[in-house]
Amino acid sequence: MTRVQSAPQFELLTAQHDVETFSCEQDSLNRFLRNRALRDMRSKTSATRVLLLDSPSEIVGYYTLCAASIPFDRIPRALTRKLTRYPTHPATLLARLARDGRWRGKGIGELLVVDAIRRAYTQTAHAGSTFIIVDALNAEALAFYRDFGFTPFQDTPSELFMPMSTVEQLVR
Amino acid sequence: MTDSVERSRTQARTARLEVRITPADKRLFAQAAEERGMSASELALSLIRRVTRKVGQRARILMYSKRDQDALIASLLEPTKPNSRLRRANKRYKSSFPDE
Repeated sequence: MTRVQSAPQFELLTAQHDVETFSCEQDSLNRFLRNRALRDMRSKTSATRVLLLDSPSEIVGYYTLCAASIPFDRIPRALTRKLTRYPTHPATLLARLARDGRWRGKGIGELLVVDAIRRAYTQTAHAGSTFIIVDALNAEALAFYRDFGFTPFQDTPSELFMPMSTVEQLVR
Repeated sequence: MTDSVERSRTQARTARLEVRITPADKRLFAQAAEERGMSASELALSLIRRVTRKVGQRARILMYSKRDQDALIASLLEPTKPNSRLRRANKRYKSSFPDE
């Protein structure tokens, strides 16, 4: 099933990429890419990876990962041996994910999600992270992530999680 | 501390936070509070809340309810398998990006 014609490529965002012409349905995601993403890369606050297809500069889609932490009120004592005694878990936040509107229906979104969670998993070897958290901007995004097996939080329904161990099973 | 003591403390409806400050700071603080039409405690609390939220956002501290925390813990104890949709997407990804 090859919906994408030419050999696609993922790269970390640099000044060589054309952030100006990227356009998806959510303007806040266009603005982030145009105005903020590269600065955040330089300051190491977050990392943005872009998907390129036929052109070395045209961005078809992008996503942004950053480190986060989840404090737990208390981890049941019976579980601290198995899990961790630290009441705060490191997590990877999939803060943004967008594909250009002109590439709608080409299965770009799933390539972005898979690259994002594989990257999130790869970095656990160096920094550790037990969960991937995503923040869905709207109902459509929420349904999209649910489709891939992310679980929505009951009391913060715009956010979803996937344990890193699930990704490990996928990658292994 | 036993678990039950821990629980009864965190479930108390209010808790105390005490801070020692210099008399000079206290006078300044009381003046500022009056200016805002608040008590010194109210002013302190509103400032602490605002700063805490800001620090939380900047440090990307993700806070979830008790039952959502329980769901996270449960997911670590019984890891779910990747679903078929994700496995299919992963297959396509690997054929598109053999080098990744």
